Amino acid sequence: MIKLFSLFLALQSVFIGVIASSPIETGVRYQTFTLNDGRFVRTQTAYTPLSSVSDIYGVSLDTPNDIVLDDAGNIYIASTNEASGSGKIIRFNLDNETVDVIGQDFLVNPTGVYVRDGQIYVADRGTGLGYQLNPDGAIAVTYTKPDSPLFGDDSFQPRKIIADARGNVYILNNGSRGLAQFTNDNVFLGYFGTNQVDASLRTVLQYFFFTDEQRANLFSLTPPEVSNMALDERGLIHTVSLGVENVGVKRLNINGDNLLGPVENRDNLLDIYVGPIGNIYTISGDGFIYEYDREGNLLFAFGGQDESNQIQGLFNVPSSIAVDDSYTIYALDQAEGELNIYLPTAFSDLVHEALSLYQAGQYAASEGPWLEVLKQNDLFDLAHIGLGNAYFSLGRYEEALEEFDIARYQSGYSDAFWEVRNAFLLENVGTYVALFFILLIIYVVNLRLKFMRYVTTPIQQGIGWVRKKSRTLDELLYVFRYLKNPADATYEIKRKERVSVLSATLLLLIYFGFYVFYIYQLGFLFNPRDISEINLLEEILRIFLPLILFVLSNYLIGSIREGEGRLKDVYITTIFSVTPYFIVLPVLAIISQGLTFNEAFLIQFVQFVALFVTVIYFFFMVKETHYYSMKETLVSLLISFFTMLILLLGAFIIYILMAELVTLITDIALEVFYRV
Amino acid sequence: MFNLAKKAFILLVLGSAPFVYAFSTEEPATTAELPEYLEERKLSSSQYTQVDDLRDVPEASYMTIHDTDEVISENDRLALYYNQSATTFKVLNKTTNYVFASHIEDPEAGTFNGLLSSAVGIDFIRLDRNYDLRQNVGLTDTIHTINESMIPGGIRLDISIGGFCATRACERFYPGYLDGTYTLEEMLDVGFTNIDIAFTVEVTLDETGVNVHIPVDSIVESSDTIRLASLTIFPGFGATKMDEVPGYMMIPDGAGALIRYEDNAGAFSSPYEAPFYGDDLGIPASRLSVSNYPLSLPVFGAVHGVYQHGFLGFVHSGDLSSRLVVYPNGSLNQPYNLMFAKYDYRRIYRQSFTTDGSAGAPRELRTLFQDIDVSYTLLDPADSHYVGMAHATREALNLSTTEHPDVPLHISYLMSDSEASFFGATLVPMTTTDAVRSMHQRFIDAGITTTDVILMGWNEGGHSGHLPTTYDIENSLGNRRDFANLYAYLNDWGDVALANSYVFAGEASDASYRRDMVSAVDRFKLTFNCGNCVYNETGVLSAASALPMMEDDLDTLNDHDIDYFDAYLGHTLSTMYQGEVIPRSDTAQIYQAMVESGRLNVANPSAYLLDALDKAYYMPSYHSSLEYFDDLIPFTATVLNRVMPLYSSYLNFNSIGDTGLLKLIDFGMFPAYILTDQPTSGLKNTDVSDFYTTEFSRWETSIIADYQMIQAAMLPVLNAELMTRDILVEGVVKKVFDNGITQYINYRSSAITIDGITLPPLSAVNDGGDA
Repeated sequence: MIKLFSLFLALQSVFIGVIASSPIETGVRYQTFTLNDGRFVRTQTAYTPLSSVSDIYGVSLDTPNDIVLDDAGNIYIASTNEASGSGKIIRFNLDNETVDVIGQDFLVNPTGVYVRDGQIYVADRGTGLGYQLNPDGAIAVTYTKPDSPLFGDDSFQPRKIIADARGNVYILNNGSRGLAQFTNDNVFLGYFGTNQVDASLRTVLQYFFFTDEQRANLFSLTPPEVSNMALDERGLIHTVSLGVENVGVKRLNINGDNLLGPVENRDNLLDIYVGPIGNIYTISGDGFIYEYDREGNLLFAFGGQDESNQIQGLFNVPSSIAVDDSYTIYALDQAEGELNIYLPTAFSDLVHEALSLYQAGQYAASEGPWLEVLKQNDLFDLAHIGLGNAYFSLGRYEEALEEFDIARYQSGYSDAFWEVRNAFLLENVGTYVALFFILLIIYVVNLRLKFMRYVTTPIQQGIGWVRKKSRTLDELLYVFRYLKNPADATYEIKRKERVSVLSATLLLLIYFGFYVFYIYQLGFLFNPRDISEINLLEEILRIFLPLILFVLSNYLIGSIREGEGRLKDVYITTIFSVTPYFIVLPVLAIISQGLTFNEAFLIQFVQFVALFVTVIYFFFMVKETHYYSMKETLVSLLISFFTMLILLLGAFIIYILMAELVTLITDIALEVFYRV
Repeated sequence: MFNLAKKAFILLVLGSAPFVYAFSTEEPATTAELPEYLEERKLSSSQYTQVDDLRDVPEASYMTIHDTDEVISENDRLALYYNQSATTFKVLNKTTNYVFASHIEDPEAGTFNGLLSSAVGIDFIRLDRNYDLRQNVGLTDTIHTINESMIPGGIRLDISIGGFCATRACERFYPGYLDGTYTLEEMLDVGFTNIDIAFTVEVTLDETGVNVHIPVDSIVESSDTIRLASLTIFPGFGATKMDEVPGYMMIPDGAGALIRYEDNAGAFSSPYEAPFYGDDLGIPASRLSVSNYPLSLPVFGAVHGVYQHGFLGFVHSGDLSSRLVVYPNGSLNQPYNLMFAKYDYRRIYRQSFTTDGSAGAPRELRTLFQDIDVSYTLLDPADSHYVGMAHATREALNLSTTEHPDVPLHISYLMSDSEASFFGATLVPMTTTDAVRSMHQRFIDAGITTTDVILMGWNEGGHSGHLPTTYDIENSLGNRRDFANLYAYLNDWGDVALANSYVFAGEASDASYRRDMVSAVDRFKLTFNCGNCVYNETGVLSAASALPMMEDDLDTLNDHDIDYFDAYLGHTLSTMYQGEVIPRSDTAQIYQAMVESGRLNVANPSAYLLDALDKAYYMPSYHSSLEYFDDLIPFTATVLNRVMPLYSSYLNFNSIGDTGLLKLIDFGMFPAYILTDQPTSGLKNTDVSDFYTTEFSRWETSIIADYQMIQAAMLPVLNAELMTRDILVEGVVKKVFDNGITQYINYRSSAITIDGITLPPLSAVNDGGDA
């Protein structure tokens, strides 16, 4: 019923918020999310907003563009007064309650500001210049459009600016080219951190089939635009880009390579800031603030858009974000001319404390804080991973295993499982050795006395008796004969009606059972699926649809290409031919339970062999069923696959048309009903 | 016995010296303390109550009585004046000589001048102009006739509005129209609207203030093309200009909010607007409130000078189809601070003609079926504060107080839910009957002997998607005897209720989609879909079906002393369509009948249910966090304190630590938690995964410690009346009770000495009386 609150949202309001009188009351008008199993789940409120501020001690924010903090706790805001066509840097200190204004006599449209060692760096889009100002506001260096051919023919309209500890200045001009790197005294060095063009299937096809002229006009070949940048304490540059998922947030090394893995990011990021413990904060065009840990794992996502500007904590048009040492977030709303301040809650303080210890490698010390975080939210993946690592470092592997399992953290789970398994094996080594020797003795004695025949013979006789009694079972067991000699078996199926359709269907259902067992029981380390999301209909379609489509297509193609197989033959032999693939599934599921990533090759090897054998059987199944030559078989298979595609497409088109027709008739009826 | 002994011990221990209650600091120190200057900003934010501006109202701001104002009624305390030429009213407090008026004299509000200089205004719909809504038309804007007649205590005005000029050209031509120079057709061409709406207004005076009554049957719409949309009464009552007068406007949004009179420098472009009792789900409309709390009480009020002058508006009737409108200065480019209610006689909604809603046309629907009855209580200086308003509200609601023996602890035990599985859904058992009992016993053993329990997910299939349901227990949690024994056990320590649902129905519930689920007035089924839920569709239950359903359910529970609990019925009220339009007032009547059974408990109840309730859950402790608001105040809680126990929302999800717990003491609300026996991670694939922390073993210690602190701080004032609540410095609250106890709440993270008493950081201190 709780999710009903989310349902209400669509009806109640376009704003992000929660219906009140809720059993969960947060006091803020946005929900805060974190990740659990790769899905967004609600968590405790991490930051609470204060009332927004439109002037700082009497100085109007006008249109605020960028915000940055220095080490002394001063806050700098670059803002533009559009009416007067002038800009300024507002420098203020909330602690001392002081404010002064810099550069209003020469700045026009300052959209970027940065501070290092007291020097203030300003990107002025209005004048087309970058500035390095002394603390008193006097111009120290001016960064101008480079003459270098490396710069290209772009106009120079600096949007953002940063300076690293080595004295390099990075100016964001044309984001598609990356960051323009200058020396401290205005010598252009080249571009840095340029994004790459994704070689999607579409672009590859376009590249092959388009003319030179068309290729030259291909918009998609322009790299995603870098929209902003920040520096961390180690001097590493972080960038955010527009229109990209998973790599929208990057941490660049000196070569410009991305050091972060895939990141859960929005695709309209406007600004990035690195917080006190290397935490990364981003803000998007629709007002969402995401906080990541140093490795790019999402901690919190919150915020949203409110164009009416009536709700605290939401943005109309955000422009920039900054964070101070107490994790207080300062974010600008360009359209409303406001500064929004968000204070961390007791909950996010806890998360930061645990994270700080965890990142410092003090896993054991982080146990307490992580436990406290989990008390606040048991569905917080990162806390489970942190706690798991704490347990692991303390040698409490089984508890670590449990935590990693909850967080679905496979790498940690594998390590902990290796330790748990190792301990188990060491404890039981005597039993295993004894068991091995007993089996060895039985084997050797049996070689001489053949006493095992008293066991095997009755079993064989029993099977023979059952096969005689039950035709269906006999036909099912015929699959082993098929595996031994598919050519002969196919002949018998075709000519002697050796297997009925019913038995083949039964076999297919058994295979489906194997498959279901496999997807549920495959070891956690090797199972890419989230078991809770397995859907019966989807799985039925996944297994039965391709088989049925192939049988139909192959029969149709066979009938026009002189194939011998009847529909019934194609159906039965197709099911028999995929046996190797399905028969190993339960085996894989069982052995995967005892393996770690170190032995992953075993699973991959078995899977590969099963697939390879299945392909061989499948090929020869078609060949024998239709009595084709090798070449005819290949052609038949290719055309069958093509026919499958066409059939699917046809069914899809008919479905769409029918749905449209039904909607049309319903809408006409509705209009007549409500208007008349 | 133990309970009595414990209380006696506590009373003995509590001496006359200030008694300090601070939460244990088991939590590890945080990595970064909030700097003092940021804490100051936090405490001066709208999430806390602010220090009052205690300046006197300047004499120059006093409204005066003119020669044209004629006394039509008076008593020892008040006098009601009527201005015949302007059709406006003033009420004089004879003790303070302060005047509140129905209007503003000579307003400077541009297009609002007409409305603000009138005692009554209207909004009307033009059917011939694609349902164009003309808003805020004052009586003085219109051509009208009024028949006056004196009635006991006041006057009756039969108002007949003829026409309205929307353009200056029309106004210029109008005298010519009156003397026959121009015809009606010519006038229509220059923006004249022939309204032809009539209604009666009765204004009377009593000892408490002014009452306005508009019989709904007196409303007559004679034009074929014009329909009355809304009536506005006394739009200028209590209005102030910019920051000329110290004080504030009180809005019962959530826990309660204040908008202080200050120069907003044009920060707000639009007014605050919210319907009483929340948005109507059954009327698909473009006008939706930005509040996330329904206004549960039909009141509004303002203070002109704290402890000097104030009033409380209370909508006794007509509240089911009315909304509160508040204009802080600057909104819609006018300089006044205004607050008044609008009574919606008709509402416009959109009728879709296509299944995807892409095509449609406006339609109107009559929504007001009750007389309009609103009172303006003039507060004495001592009551001219939000606490005084709360007392006046309780009086207007006619609620009586009861004694509470102890501070109760509320626990909701979540017993089961279900998650998607290969075939349909699988039950996720979280707490068996045995587990509930053993968990509860731990609290009893810790001395928490007054409890209140709701069992959730007790039913077959679990909590989500299956409600409403008959008494069909989930057997895997315990058999019928186990459940019966559990009820008996829990009853020893307090009340027990089973969670059920009579407003919304899940897709696996006992409700029939065709028979029991209603449509909105556009005749589309009123259902909500959730893409990633186990149970995707939720419908709105017909109130007519809900009542017999509940009665049948209760019949099966007669052997047990337990109730039902509905999380939504208290604050959800919709117009419905089921063969015919069922207005909100009809739905409210049925909900009243359900609550009057005495065995249905609800969350955050609306005013029309309060009479029949003996407790309330999920009481708000915040407001809607709108930019307009300056303060958070415990208004709703102060109204209902001592009337019934008020339980907070679940403190498992309190992210602000001790501050959240101190608020309970400050607001007089009791703690509530939701618990499971099994780890919460079991819920992650269910539809209640938003309950992300519920595991008993994680919460036991802190619940006991926090409860003990809250209980100790609240017991001395549990049955005392709050007389004043003042903010001494930012973050420090001083509450004075009628039993002589003064309670201080320190929200600051540093100690402070006030009135000679040192208040530790984040603490509550009781002083005086029997504290």
